[in-house]
Amino acid sequence: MPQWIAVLAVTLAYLGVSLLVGLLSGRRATASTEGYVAGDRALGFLVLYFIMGASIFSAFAFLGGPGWAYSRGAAAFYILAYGTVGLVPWYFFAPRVARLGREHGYVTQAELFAHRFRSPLLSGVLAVISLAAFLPYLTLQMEGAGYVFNIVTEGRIPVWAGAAIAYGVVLVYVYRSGVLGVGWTNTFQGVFMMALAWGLGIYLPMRLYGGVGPMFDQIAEAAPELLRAPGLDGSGEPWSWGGYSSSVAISVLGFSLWPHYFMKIYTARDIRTLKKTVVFYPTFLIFLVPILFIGFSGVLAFPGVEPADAILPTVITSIELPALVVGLFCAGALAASMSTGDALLHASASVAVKDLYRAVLRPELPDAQERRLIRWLVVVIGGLAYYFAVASEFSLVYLLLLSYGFIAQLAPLSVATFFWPRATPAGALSGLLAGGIVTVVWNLNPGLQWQDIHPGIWGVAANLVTLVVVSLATWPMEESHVARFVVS
Amino acid sequence: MRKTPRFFSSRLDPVERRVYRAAVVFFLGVFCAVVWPAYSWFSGAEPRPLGIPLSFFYVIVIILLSFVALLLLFVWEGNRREPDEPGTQGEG
Repeated sequence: MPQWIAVLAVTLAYLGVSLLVGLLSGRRATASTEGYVAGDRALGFLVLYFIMGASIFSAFAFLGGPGWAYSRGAAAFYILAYGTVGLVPWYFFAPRVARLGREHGYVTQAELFAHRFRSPLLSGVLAVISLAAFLPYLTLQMEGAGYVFNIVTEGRIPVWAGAAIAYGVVLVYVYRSGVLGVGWTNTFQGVFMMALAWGLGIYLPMRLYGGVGPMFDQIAEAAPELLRAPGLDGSGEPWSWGGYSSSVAISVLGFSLWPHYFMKIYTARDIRTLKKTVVFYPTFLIFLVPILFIGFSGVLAFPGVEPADAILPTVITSIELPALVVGLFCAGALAASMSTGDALLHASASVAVKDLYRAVLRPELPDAQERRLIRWLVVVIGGLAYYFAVASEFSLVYLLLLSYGFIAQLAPLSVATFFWPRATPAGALSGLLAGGIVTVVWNLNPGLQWQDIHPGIWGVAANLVTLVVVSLATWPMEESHVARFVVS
Repeated sequence: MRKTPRFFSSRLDPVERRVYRAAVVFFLGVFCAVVWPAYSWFSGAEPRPLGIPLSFFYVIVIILLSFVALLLLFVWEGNRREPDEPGTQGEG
């Protein structure tokens, strides 16, 4: 039997198990929007831990992480650096979010902010920002899945077919099972990826260099610039501390506020479960360490691989490995893509219906109809992302670069929501608008750059100033209403 | 209406307030540790503890510190109150 058939068989077996887990898990939820989007607020620690963890083990971490380590060296440590405190803000504000969610029935992020500021318009703006940030990410996950299939079958399965197979499975279980499908498949996929990451991360340096230590010894000798933080930039020149530090800062600001993470706060069974998830989150970062070893293992053994993101599949297919191992790798990479893509798909549809359609256009939408609409939108958004992933010439890379800058704009809004009673709807909206515009303008005009600082940082500064000034210049909101949200 | 921000609930007792304040300062410190200038002091490829370059090893140590600190805070809270006392526990 040719190797690629065996590889494909292992991969398809993985997809089969994912589908089964995804379909079975949905049977526990009630047939309501709360059940479909927030798992009836009954998720335990294990599932929540893997949902949060699997989301960072995305196609970016699995393919891009080694790619960065391979081509940009120490720059890749930034992925670990922002994770050190990325989820910590949850420890302090998530209990309040969860309680408000229970009291008022929220299942999305914008529902909370729009209620605090009594502004359906704010809900619509947040929905547009979320969707603009989600779509390129989802597209990237699909491309990653198609790419993995293509490489391990030695080109026999084209990218479009690979993406269709993997995301066909995702579509079925997200459509059928909602957040429980996402949760339980992520648990299965997460365990799988961890095992694979450590297996390959230790095995490859051992096989190619005789161990992790000898590998770094040799790289330090041949290319010491790769091991000195903050590593190299995209063009191979030393990266600046300004660029590195501000990238970490913008990621820290935005990380805990990504709408598809944020809405998982509502799914937790209780506050202790939520806090425990935050506590154990850094353990997931440790699983990224071997992923970076894999990238470094390619530096001297496989020079000149283009694009750098192909280093992991290149190493895997270039050395003699049993078909089972290659198949497991393929399945692991698909798991990385799917476990992020499913959460994005589920969140996109929920946000589009709840925060845009219902909040702005049809407040009286009945629950059953709403749930049906969300499920159909899962299919529509999946199709749209698939179109961008395989058919469209239009590149979403620009949106992707902007997405973290946009999401970080939610930070001043969140602080104002929970900690500043004087903040007003006009302040919140104009802050978001100012932040978004400054981020885009700074992105488009390299001449405005200073010390390589991430454009989103300037956006957050403009956002904060505007929020404060406009809030103070407008009438305060009703005290009894605001008191329900802010710390008192 | 109170116009100034309040970061800790007035329902927290003085010990809790002190602990949460210390935790916030600690995690701000963790963030500062992984960016310039602090990280630049540990950014070299040498030495290589456990065979891993210092620039890499340092970030791993910070992750572990962050984990231990969160764990201590969590256990401390658990010992203080009945779990999940509604509306109060650990609210910023």
